[in-house]
Order: sequence, then C-alpha cells, then structure tokens
Amino acid sequence: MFAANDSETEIYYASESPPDLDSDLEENNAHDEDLEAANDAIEDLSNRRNNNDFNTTNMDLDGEYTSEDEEQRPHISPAAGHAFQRLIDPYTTRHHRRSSSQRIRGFSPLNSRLLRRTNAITPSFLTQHVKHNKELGLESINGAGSKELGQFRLPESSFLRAGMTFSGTQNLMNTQQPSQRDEEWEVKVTVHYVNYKTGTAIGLMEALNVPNSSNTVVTYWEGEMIDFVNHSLWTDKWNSTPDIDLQHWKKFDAFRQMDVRSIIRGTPTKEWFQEACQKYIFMRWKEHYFVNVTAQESGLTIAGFYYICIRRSDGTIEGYYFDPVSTPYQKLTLKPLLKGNGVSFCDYSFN
Amino acid sequence: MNFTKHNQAVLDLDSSDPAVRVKALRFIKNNIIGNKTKKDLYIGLNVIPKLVTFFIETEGVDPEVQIQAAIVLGSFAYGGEENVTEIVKHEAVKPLLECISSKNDPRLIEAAARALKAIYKCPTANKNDIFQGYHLQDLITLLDPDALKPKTDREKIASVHTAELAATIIARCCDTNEQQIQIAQAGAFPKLVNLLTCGFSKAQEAALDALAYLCRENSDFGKEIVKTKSETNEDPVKIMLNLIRDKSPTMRLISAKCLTHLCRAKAIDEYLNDITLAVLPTLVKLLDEKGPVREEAPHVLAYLIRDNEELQKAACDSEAVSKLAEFVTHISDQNSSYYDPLGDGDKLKENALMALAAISSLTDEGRKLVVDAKIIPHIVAAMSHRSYGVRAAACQCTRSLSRSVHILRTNLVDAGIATPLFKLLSDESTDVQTMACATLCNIVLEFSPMRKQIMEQGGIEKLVKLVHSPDNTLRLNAIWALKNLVYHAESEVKYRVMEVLTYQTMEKLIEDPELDVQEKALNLLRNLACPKPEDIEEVFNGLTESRLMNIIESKLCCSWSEEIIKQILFVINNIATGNENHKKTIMSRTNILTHIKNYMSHQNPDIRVAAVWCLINLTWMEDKHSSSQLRVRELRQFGFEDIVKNMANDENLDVREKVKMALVQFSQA
Repeated sequence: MFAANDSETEIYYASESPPDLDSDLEENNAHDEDLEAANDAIEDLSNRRNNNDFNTTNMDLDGEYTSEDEEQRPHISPAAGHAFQRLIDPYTTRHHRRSSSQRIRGFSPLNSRLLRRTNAITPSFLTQHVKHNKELGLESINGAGSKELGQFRLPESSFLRAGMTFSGTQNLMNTQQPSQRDEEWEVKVTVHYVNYKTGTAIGLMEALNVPNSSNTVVTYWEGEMIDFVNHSLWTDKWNSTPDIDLQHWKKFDAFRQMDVRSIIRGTPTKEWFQEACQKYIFMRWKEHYFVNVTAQESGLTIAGFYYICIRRSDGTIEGYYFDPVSTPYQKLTLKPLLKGNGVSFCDYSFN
Repeated sequence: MNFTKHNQAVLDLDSSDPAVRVKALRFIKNNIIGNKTKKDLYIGLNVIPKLVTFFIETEGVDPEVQIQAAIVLGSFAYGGEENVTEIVKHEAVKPLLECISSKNDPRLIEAAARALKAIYKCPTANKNDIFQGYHLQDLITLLDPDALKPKTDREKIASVHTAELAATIIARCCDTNEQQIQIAQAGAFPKLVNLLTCGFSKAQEAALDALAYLCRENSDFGKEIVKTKSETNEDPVKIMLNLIRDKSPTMRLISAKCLTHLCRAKAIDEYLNDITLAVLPTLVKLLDEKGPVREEAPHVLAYLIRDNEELQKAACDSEAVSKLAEFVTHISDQNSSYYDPLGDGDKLKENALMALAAISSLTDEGRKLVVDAKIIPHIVAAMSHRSYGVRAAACQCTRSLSRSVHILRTNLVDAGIATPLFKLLSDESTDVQTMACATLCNIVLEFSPMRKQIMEQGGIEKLVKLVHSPDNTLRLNAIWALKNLVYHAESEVKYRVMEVLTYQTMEKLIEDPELDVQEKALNLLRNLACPKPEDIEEVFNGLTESRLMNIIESKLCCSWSEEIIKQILFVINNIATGNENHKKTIMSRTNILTHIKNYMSHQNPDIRVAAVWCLINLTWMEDKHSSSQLRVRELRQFGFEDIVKNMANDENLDVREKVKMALVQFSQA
C-alpha cells in the first residue's frame, strides 16, 4: 500500500490504472477524467483573459523539462491560430510505448493531443496555481472562504491525539546508488499536542541505534495539518518549492488515486479533498531543535522536514524526509506503539 | 495654662447655645480638612461620639448644627480606613442614613450623603443598612436632581451634586446579586439613565459607575438597562458611546467600564464592532494617563477581553502589550518615583500583569507578544512581591504563557520559573496558592523540562496536601495537577504518586461534591490504567477489583455529565487493553456492557467513539487466542455486532473508522 511510486506518468491519469497504451483504441481510451479536465481547460482558455491562473504565454516550454524525464520528446508542429499549440509536451514519453499499429495509425487525433498538452504540468504552471491556491487558502482563513472550501475543520482521528506514541523506522532509500547499504534506524514518535482548529501538532521524535552515535537522539518537532484552511499542500518555506512538494506528495498512495491536475490548476475541490481526508491526514513535520544532545554530538541534521501521511483506519504513518542537502526520499514508517492488548488513551489538559 | 483651642472646641460642642456649637463645629472642620494629624487628634479627643449624638437626639437640635456636624463627620470619613472604622464603631451610619430622607433640609441631605459616600468607599463598611427601611428609596429619589425642587442656581447645582453622591453610594453598595436586585427593584435604572444626560460630568460619571455595577455579571439587568431610554428618548448605549469620546479621561474610563460590563453581561452583542473599534482602543490609550485612571484601565481591559479570542487578537494589534510591559518592568522598584506618589503602584503592577495575562490567555499570538516584551524575568521577580495581589497576578501571567508547549519548554525554563512558583504553593494567601497551583498543572506535564525539578522539591507531596483543601478551586487545581503529572508518565512516577495520594483518597475525590473534581479524579484513574497491563494490575491491586468495578458502574449512571461519561468510558477502554483477567473482569459485568451499548448512540460523538473503542479492545485478537474468540462471540450475542453495523453511516468520521475496525474484529471469530 505504501510502495514508493517512481513511475511519473501515472500521476497524470486520474483513473485507477494507467491507460493501456498498447491498445488499438488508444485514442478512444483518453479517459473520461482527462476529457473532463480538458473541457475545463478549454473553458479556461476561452476565459483566459479574465482568469489569471491560466496564463498561456508561460506555457511555452522551450527547454523547460522536468529533471526526471530524460527521454526524447517528439515535437509537434503547431497548427495555426492557437498559442498553446506551440507547446512541447514534456510528458509525451508515454507515447513511446505505443504499439506498432498505433504508430502506423499515428497519434491520437489532434484534438485530444492538444487537450493533453494543455493539461501538462509545468514548473511555471505550478507557481501560478500555488499563488492562486494560497490566496484561496488565505481567504478561507480570513473567513471569506472559497465557495468550494467553505469553513473547513479537519475531522479528528483517534490516532492523532496527545499521548499517542508511534514506533517504526527511518530508511535511507538510495535509489540512485542501489549498491550502497541501506541505513536504517529505529524511530519513536510521541505526539504531545494536537489542535484541529489551528491545524497544528507538536511532539518529540526519538532516533534509536543511530549509526555512529551511542545515545538516542531526541528532537522536538512541530507539525502542520494540510487542511486547506490553515495550511495548503504548498510548503512555501524550508527550502521547498511547489515542484518538490508535488514530487513528495506523489509518493503517497493517496495521491496516486487523485485528480492531481485539478489540485494544481484550480481550487482543491470539495470532492477531491473530502475523499482524501476521509482516509488520511496529511501533514508536514519540522524538527526545530535537539532535546537531549547537541547537534554535533548527534551527528544528525534536522535542516529538512517530513511530508507525512497518517492513515485514519489504523494510525499507520508514512513519511518522506526532504532536505536539499540530504539524500532524497528517506522514508519514515511508523505505526501506533501499543504496550497493551489494544489501544489505550491517556490525556492531559492545560489549566 | 489653659485648654488648647482644640479641647475648647470639643467642649463647646456641649454648649446649649447652638451658635456656640456651630462656631465650634466650623472651627473643627477648618482644622481637619486635608490634615491627617488633626483628624487623629480630634478622634483622640473623642469627638466622634459627640457628633453622633446630634443625630440621635434630634429634639431641640438646631438644623445648622446637624448640617455642620454631618460635614465634619464626612471630613473624618475621607481620612482613610481607620477613621471610617471609628465612625462605624460609634454607629454613625444609621443616623446619617436618616438624614438623607427628602423631608430634610437639602443641605443636610447633601452633607450626610457626602459622609456616607466616603464611608462606603471603605470595603469593610457594612452595607446592609441601606437596604433597610426607606433608605434605599430615599437614595433613589435623590438620583433625580429635581426631586428636592431646587430654585436658585446654587440649589440646582447642589441637587445635582447630591444626585451624584447618591449614584456613587449605589455603585458602592452593589456587590452581590441580591443587592443588585433590590436596587433595580427600587427603580434605579430610569433615574440613572436620565442622570447620564444631565450635562454635569461628575454626576454622569457616578451614574455610569452605578449602572456598571448593576449589570456586572448580570445578563438580565444588562439587557434591561440597554432598553431603558432617557426622558429625552435617548438610547443609553448611544449615550455611553458618546461619552467615551469625552475630553475627560475619567469620563472615558468609566464609560468604557460600563460598556465593558454590558458587553461581558452579553447585553450588547450587536455592538461588537463598537466594542472593538471604540472601547478597546480607548482603554489602551488610557494607559498613557496618570494616576487612578492609568491604574484602573488595565483592570477593565483584562475583564473586557477575558475568554474572548477576537478581542484578544484586537488587543494584540494595538499597543497594549508594550505599554503594559512598561508598568511591569519597574516591578522590582518598590518605591520607584516612576509611580505616581498619590497612586497605588502595587495596584498598577497587579492590574498590568492581569491584563497581560488576559491578552496571552487564548492565543499563541498573544503569548508571543508578551514573551517578546522581555518581561518574564520581571514576572519571576513579581512572585516575591510584598503585595499578594501582585504575586497572584504574576502566577496568572505565567499560567497563560504556560499554555504553549513551546514557551513551556524554552522561555519559562530559561527564566527559572519553577522554584519561585512552587514556593507560592505555600503562600499565606489562598488566592496565590490557587493561582500557583493552576499554573503548576501545566508545568508538571511530561514534556515540560521543569517537571523533574518540581517532583524533586516535593511537588507530589505538596499537591497531595492541597488536594485535601476545603477550598473548591484549590482542590480542583491540585487534582488537575496530579492528573497531568501522570499523563504519559513512567510506571515509577505513577507508583510514587499513588503511594503518596493513596487509592483511598482518589476514591474520595471520585465522589467529591464538585463534579469538576470528580471528572479530574477519573481522568487520573484513566491515566494510571495505561499503557501496560502491569499498570492496570497496579490499579486493580490498589483499589481491589470489586471497588474498581463499583466505581465504574456507578459513574456510568451519571448520564447528566458528558465529561464524566467520557472519562469513565476511557477508564474501561484502558482496562480492556490489559491481560485476560482484566478483559474478563469487564466482560463479566453485564451492567457495564449494557451501558457501553447504550452510549454508542449518544449524541456526543466523543462519547460514541469512546464506547466503540471499548468494544474494539474487548474484541482485540491477541494471536488468535481462544479467549479472544470467546469474547467476540459473547459480545456478538450481546448485540454489539448488530449495533455497530448500524453505525456504519454515523455522521462522525472517527466513529465510522472505528466502527469499521470493530466490524473487522468481529469478522475474525
């Protein structure tokens, strides 16, 4: 359920499984969601003078590819009359798996190809929408509330509550050098404060049997819940960028099944968000200081932060550590630490 | 050798000639005005009982003598608490109250009212006399300057002055709810509202003061005052919103105070904007004034923003914190010339600390502002201030700040607040003890670095001692602190606490007359009974199984208190995570199971969730243990599986998720 997904293409399909690219009916397999989204795109385009979040001039990509995609991309000759046709779709790699029959028949009709291109997710595209989303988020915080979001408070989960302890491991998943030995240490996390209204949490994280260290290392962290009222998907701090955010959120199974296009292009709609929040709570956790040792003694860094996904059904936590100078995608896996035959709850309250 | 002039004057009071008496009285009056020494001198010469006799044996007493005697008594009364005590001792109050009846000479009424005003300024004066006979009615009558039919300008001014005095007396005799009711029933509201429009500022201020105390914490009266229009058909709130812009700081303060009391009494909810845009900024600006205005403004401000997050945020946006911080930074200077020599420096510090405590009580934003103002060291210093009000206020401030995990772990630790705070648990004043104990509730939490220090200094023992206090609030705070102490604590700590507290005491607290105390005691039990089976076993040993189950059964019946239900369900839940024996104990009590079943359809989702968790833990499968399977079947027979099946569409997400979990467990047997 939490296998890391390195296949980039899947994210651009809203449906459960990627389209069968070898099918003879490829052009007709353009999935409903694609078309729906595409239709929205067309509408946006016709409104583009009024709608600032669809700035087509920036969509001219010359040379702007995402780093993951090293495959060659075929250039599509522009048809007359529409600016967006000059686009080069960086994600046409999926086409390279076409069957011979398709290659003979050629690509899907110009129509749907254009549609797919307009749905391409580019870095500048992201930036536009992040800004828009942030404004929408701020509106919600200040009470104006976007129509789609309304005043929203994340439903509570028994597992995300003061007093809950989780245990598991943090792995160094080094995909670029598979020969390097996996490092792993045991981790224990205790949550000490949760506030669903402000979308915050506080806790302590303990790393045990850290290589090259005799102590356990305890850090203090503060977390933000992605509730689209207090915090959105976009970090906007801690050296992160929308691109990086997206890369990390994509790693969660939860996101694979979602219409990411609509997240980015416009408001996170009530339906998408409700669906996501039915099953998971997304957070970011940032460690702020060491508690029991000095940074130097520990041999560890806390410059980065974690993207976190908590599964409501059983309290399992999956996380990915991001730090521009560390190896990417160190994975944190935790589940509730139960010292009895069941789940017990202790409690405190501030006076 | 001869009598001193003063002795002579006192002797002359016995003269049968009224003119001599009047002359003597005038002489005494001129000597004692503004002169404490002379006042003490004459009191020493036993002049007060002589004065009182002029009012008791009214036959053949010249009215002028009475007037002058009343003026002299008034002058003594303005000389401080000791003098007032003397006056009251000689039973001057009742006779003076007789003087304010409208059948008397207006000058006598005015002089007597003035004396009474000074007498009632003293907090120890007995205020019951006013509510006997016709006195209250007389006072209310005086609120109308026209009641005494003044003719000349001088008379008119005098009657407004009398109205002012009457209003002030009312303001000072309005402490309890009963007193408020009696004054209101005597018809005070319309007359006071009219006085607001009389145009004489002192009278207007007095009327505002009286209205403020009549609606304090009294929603009905607040609403009634708002509806009472003046004779000129003006709205009292509008009048007040006007007066709050007056050039006199005192007028601004008292208008703000009155509006604040109305706001707190929930009588002017529709004027929220005006409160935020007029009252709050006015109070903040008044912090720049001098003297009593500057002292009282923080007190009113603190009261205004208490429990109100919106107003606290507005206060954060103003200059309030920096101004208040100024008052506090001089806190170590006991006799600093910074403070108004005529003012009360201690009161100013106390009120400033309370206002800062209020601003930082509900939001992290407020707390950050207070921390950034760098006053924590001064707060620590204030904990050993000579005034108990300042010490209590320092605790209150710390308490607000300690509600932030971050501040608790950094600024408060760095300032070394633990030891001085702990010392205050043994303060001579119960108020201070109560406030310190409230703060310690947060200081002893597991994630607080100061916890260990408190425990090492004997914190557990001290808290256990306070848990036996007859003072309800103190007792509550002590059990609260103990409950927080065992939150997520190691078994050794739990053991230690119960060693000192004893299970017997805990049982008593669970049956405490105060529901709040009961709830905290149950929370303590809940925290003890987890997370390991060993911890649960300790509880079983300490209470005995039967007593534990009895407690549970009896509390489950307290359906009127949701908090208690919640806690007891979690006690059951935690026990159900124990070993076979623990689970069996719950299973064997059908009463308990029935209650759990019923609470699954409670309208409070927190209670429903807790009930389902009990079920989840009772159906918990430990390695397909055969006894788990047996329990599952038993519970199915009891009807639990059907119930949770019907809860699949509960409106609360957490409940739905737990229901799913329970159903999965049922499906395994």
